[in-house]
Amino acid sequence: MEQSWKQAKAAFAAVATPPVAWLIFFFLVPLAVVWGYSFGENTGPVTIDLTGTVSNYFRALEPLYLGIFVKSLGSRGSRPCCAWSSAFGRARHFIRVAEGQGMAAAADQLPFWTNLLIRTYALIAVLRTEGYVNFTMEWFWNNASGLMTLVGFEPLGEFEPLQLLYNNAAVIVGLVYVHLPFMVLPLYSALDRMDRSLMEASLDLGAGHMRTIFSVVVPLAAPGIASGILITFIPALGAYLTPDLLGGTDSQMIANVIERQFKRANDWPFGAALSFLLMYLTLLAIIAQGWVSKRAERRG
Amino acid sequence: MAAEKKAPPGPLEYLRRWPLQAWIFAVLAFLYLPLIILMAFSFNTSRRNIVWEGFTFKWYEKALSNDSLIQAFVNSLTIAFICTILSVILGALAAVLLWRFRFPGKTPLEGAMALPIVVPEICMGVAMLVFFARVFPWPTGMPWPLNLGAITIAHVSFSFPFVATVVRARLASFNRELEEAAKDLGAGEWRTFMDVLVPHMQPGLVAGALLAFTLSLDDFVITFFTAGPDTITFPVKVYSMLRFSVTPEVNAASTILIVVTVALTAIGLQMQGLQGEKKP
Amino acid sequence: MSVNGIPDNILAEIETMLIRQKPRVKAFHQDNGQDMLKSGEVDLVLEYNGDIAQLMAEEGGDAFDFVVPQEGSLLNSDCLCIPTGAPNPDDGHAFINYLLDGEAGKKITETILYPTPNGAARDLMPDAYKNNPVIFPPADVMAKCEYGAFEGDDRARLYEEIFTRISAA
Repeated sequence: MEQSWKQAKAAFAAVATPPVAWLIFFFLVPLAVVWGYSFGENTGPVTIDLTGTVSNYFRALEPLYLGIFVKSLGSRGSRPCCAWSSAFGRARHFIRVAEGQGMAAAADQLPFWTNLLIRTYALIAVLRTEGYVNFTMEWFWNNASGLMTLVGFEPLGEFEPLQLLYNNAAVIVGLVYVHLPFMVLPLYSALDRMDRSLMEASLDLGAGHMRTIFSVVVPLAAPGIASGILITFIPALGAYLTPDLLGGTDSQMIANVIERQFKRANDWPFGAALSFLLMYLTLLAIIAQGWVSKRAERRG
Repeated sequence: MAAEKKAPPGPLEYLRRWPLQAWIFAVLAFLYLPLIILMAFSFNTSRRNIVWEGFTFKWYEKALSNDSLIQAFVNSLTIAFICTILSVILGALAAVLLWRFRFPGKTPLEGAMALPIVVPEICMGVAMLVFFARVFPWPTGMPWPLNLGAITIAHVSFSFPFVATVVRARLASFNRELEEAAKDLGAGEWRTFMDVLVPHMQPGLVAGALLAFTLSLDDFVITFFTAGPDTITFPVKVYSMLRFSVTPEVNAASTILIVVTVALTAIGLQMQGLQGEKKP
Repeated sequence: MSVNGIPDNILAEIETMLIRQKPRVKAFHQDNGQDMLKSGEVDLVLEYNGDIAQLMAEEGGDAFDFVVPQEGSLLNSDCLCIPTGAPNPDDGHAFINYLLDGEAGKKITETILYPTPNGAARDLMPDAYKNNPVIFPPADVMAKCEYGAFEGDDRARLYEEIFTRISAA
């Protein structure tokens, strides 16, 4: 399906030049500078000497930091699943809305035009020990307790508020909350104009709804799902604000460590080395995933 | 007239079936609850964001008379607007490039396009900081909105690959025969692009535009590193206000921002709807 | 024992102690300890005296108090500096001059309630501020406190790594 660039040189040049030029000059060049720093050393509080040393990378590969890497990667695995399933529901909703499709998409985006920090503080108000969830549950608990005494049972004990905040669960909730739209949009884009008659055919042939979804819709929407997972999983790895604000003492992710290197520890070379290591690992994961899906395609 | 009985939902009418409705309701509640709380508390008398104590408009008065906050608003919206336009253009071009052509260096380019998504934000923030300080100094003291250039450039750099990914997913479902048919009928490259390809890409473009707008408006880390004292954006301003103390003034400001962006989007979609009607 | 020049074996002990304490610690807060205290999230917080003084000055503030441990504590000061190579050093000096003005300093101090180094501002503050033991602890308490010195980049990096280990444990 692709054509060689030689067949339409003018079109190729027109389409290629702006994005490639921008990417190189305003992205790769700055990144290359930091990459250079990862091979440097601090020679004073503000100067960095590019000595070509690899000691930063060696330090980044120490068990302490590797362990944090693994933990960050692992805990991110559960997130895309949650985000995906909720997003899927939303996306289906979009395609059923006959009119005002744009408004539905915008309505979904709305929470995310609020500043992240504010939203996180609002989430904290909901999840706190004396926050809304616990407040509501306590109300139910006390009423249930009252009812039980009416019937003659012992009242329930003192209400123990749920610890919904300052732990890893809170971080996951916060991250899903932040990254949900990034999952919905690619899904919407791919599901729209999907041939609905295929679904009807599947239903006519006797498959149940769930079976139809998993055997017909999911494979067709696969590029959307894949890009959605890419767009949510990876920024989540680099997020440090959410674990900072919502996490407890166990919620240190690699992004928090990196942030500290650039700020408090004033160790830019090491921070750069950690960042690039994170990037290499993620790229490896992407390549592995691409390779696996190509093999699946060939088999299927 | 006699009331008609509601027909039972058809096999594909998922929206009318209660499991999906319940799910959507739950998801919407999850998404909107903190927001509703946020807006409700902007009317709270108490200074701290925690216990409800009384109804007041004073936080709105404070927010609207806070010049630096208003300036930060305007800056954020401007940057987001420009960034969205540039990102959609660059992202669409990049998507078409990768989808249509085979050329040497294609795989490295795909990898390079994935980098902005993979790079930790703090790393990119530092990179941009160093870039604009040492490599490509953005002239200081320029009039608005040119002084927002550094931030806008940084935002575009990390948004357009997202747009490209979304549009590319959309292009995957394009039937190339349509393109060939157009060419057979005598349309040139440009005409084919605008009249055949772009309409098909449109949901992807819309989705990408919303994505880019959101990314830019909400960005904190990268902006934090590229902003200067005269180019402060809303998230950075809010951060400094929150550092100091959590007052409902920030809630009021956020509510105003939400209302403004909703209004802008409604206008934008209205215009798009009008355009759509004009097409034969 | 001083907070400066801690020998390595003591550092290792400190690390073990902090790791042992971790299950009872809710969070390593990001300078928002006073919010956590007010919302009832925690009963005890390690915070700056100015933040707690602000909390105590609000309604319901008498529920809170600020104490310095008998071993003493760490002192910290906010500083202003003009970097070498700054393009407008005179503007920097002018700004610092402004901050050291009595009236300007008074306005700042009234809001943040930290002990101010600005003598002119302090003279203009009410007695309730000047005699507040939270803001100005008595001399014998201050005698037990000390500033943390900058002991070189390597040392700072070492401390960061210890903290990373504690957080990861």
